[in-house]
Amino acid sequence: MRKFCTFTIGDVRFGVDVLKVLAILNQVEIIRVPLANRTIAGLIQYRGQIITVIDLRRKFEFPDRKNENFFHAIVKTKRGIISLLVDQVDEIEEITQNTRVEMSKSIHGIDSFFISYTYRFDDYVLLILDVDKIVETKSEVFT
Amino acid sequence: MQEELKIFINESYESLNSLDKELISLGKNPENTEILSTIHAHYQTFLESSKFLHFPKLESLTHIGERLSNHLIQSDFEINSEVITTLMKLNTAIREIIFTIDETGKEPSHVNASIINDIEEVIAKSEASVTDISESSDFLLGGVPQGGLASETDIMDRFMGIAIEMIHAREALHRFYLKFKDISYYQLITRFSLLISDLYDQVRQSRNQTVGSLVMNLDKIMKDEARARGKSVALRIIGKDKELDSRMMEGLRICLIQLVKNAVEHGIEDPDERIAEDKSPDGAITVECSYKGELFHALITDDGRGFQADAIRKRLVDKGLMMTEEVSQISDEEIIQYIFKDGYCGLNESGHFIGGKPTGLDIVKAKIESMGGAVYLQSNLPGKGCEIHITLPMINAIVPVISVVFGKERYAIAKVHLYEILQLDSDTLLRNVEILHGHSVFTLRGKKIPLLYMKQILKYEDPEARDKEKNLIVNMVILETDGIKFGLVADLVHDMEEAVIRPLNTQISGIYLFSGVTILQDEKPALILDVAEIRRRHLNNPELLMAISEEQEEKGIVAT
Repeated sequence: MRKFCTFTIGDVRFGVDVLKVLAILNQVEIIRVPLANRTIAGLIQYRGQIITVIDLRRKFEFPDRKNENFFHAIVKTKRGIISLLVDQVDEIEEITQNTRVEMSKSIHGIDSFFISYTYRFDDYVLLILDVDKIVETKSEVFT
Repeated sequence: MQEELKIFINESYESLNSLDKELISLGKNPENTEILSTIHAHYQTFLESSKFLHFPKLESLTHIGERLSNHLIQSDFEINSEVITTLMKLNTAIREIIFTIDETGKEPSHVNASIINDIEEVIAKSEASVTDISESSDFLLGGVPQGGLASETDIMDRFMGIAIEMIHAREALHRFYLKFKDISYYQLITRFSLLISDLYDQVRQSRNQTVGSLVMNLDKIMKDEARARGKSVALRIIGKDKELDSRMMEGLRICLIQLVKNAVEHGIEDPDERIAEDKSPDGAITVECSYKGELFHALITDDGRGFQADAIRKRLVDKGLMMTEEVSQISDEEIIQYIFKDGYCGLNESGHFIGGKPTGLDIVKAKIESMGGAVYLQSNLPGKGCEIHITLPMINAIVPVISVVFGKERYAIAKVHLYEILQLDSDTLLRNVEILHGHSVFTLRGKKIPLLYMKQILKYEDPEARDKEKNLIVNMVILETDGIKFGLVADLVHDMEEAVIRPLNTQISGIYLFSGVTILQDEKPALILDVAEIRRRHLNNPELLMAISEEQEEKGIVAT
């Protein structure tokens, strides 16, 4: 049995292994970083550390959110701790049955590079994020 | 000698740990020649020191490591799990010898020589170019045995994290005191903050290394290089007491070795040539380390022949890196920076590696930038030598900063760059601004000072800028870097405070505007503006700089 912290962006549901999720925060002031890649929303302070905030909407090329309602999912990656901006945080999903499927090239327009695998349910698909891949691609910097 | 031995042992443990890490990452990215070059440089350093200290057994082991890594760089032999495992075994063997030296001061009487045969075999195989790709792919994804000291570094990292949080707590406590000014707390708070400062200094020092630890190594390599080329060169190192995070010092060492070797090989002329040019027959290389606010600064100068802009242009074209029309459009000042370009060094005209390996100045640039620093060639006088500057962030140092506000944003500036803070109404500003060589220049007490606006460097329009035009007060900080003063116009300037400097997060480390990040009093992060780099990018018009410096000199004469 594995447990996943689940959240939504638009109408797509994502999951991250609970062991990799350190905290869920909202209402933290984000410090913008000029000239950074547009997927980088900025920096926040988390327990004395300064961590990078990545907007998953922009990372996955969703339209920008129209309101200020979002959450920070603080996750551990092999390149340190980062925050992922998501629209809504849902419950912890316990998965017992074996419904795991490898992902095809893309689903809901999301590059399969960032997805470890998926779980198919009757009415939806849960995409399990590979958080290490999110930080892998180098930021493009405009100079 | 005892002291040297101690340094050597400590450095050896450090470099074995980083070797282990590099090997693991090489296992994951077998194609990455940069990692391979770093590994090679480690073995080279090891070899030099073991020769120097007369440890023949250690020398034979490190020599074989140096040979294998050099071999791997030069051949396109596939790096498979066997190579990595063999090199890991070699590290274990080296670690055992170091351990014995640490305990007894001598090498062990018996060393397992089978590892040498193993490596000879790998070299023989690679020469036969037998490639076995099948094994390499999934290697090292599982757990990797870690050396005992790696975990010690982790513990030090955690200590550092806690110490930084304590510094923040101390600042908060101090603000609390200022608010209530209750004298009965005063002594307690003072005592508490001194203790925290002491603890912080101790933790930081245990993670830092001094420049002095590089001296022996660098001097030895330089002398060998000079002797091999029949040149006579003296190396002078200034600022031996300056400290840097030990991991950065390791990176700096690799770069300095490369730069010093390069200076001996290409910069310093043969003794006869030097005499003919009316120079002393002995060349001189100086490495000068200092602190410049939030940055560690190393200046490498030599009195050799310097770089010839046209020779660099020719080489760029010859190597197919750029087109003839392209290079002719770039000024001499800019073209010399291309010595750090990928592929500029390495193969010479006949297709052989210079100095036996393809590590060149591009490696120096890559290494320094990966540590969040910058490297550039500043003044280059053909025939008189050159000056190479390296700047590295001094992570975890406590530095006084001021902060400037623009719209809703706030940025920190190290206080060393601050010359003056001005507050004036917008009419006065307008009256005293003129355009000189395309730049806004402000006249302050008869001196001309170029101006930069926050929106110009951040490439950002403040959405509330229109309302602010009614606001008649303008705040300006006059900053000074490389002997040039310039004004930065902001909305507000905040008071000085003490801040702990952190390196830029990897995702944003390539942005030239910033040299680091910090957490300010209100516990929110702030980016630290890289004043020197901003000046280089935005105020580099030679005519403008000339006009200002003439102006400043003139005033200087009047004043005296």
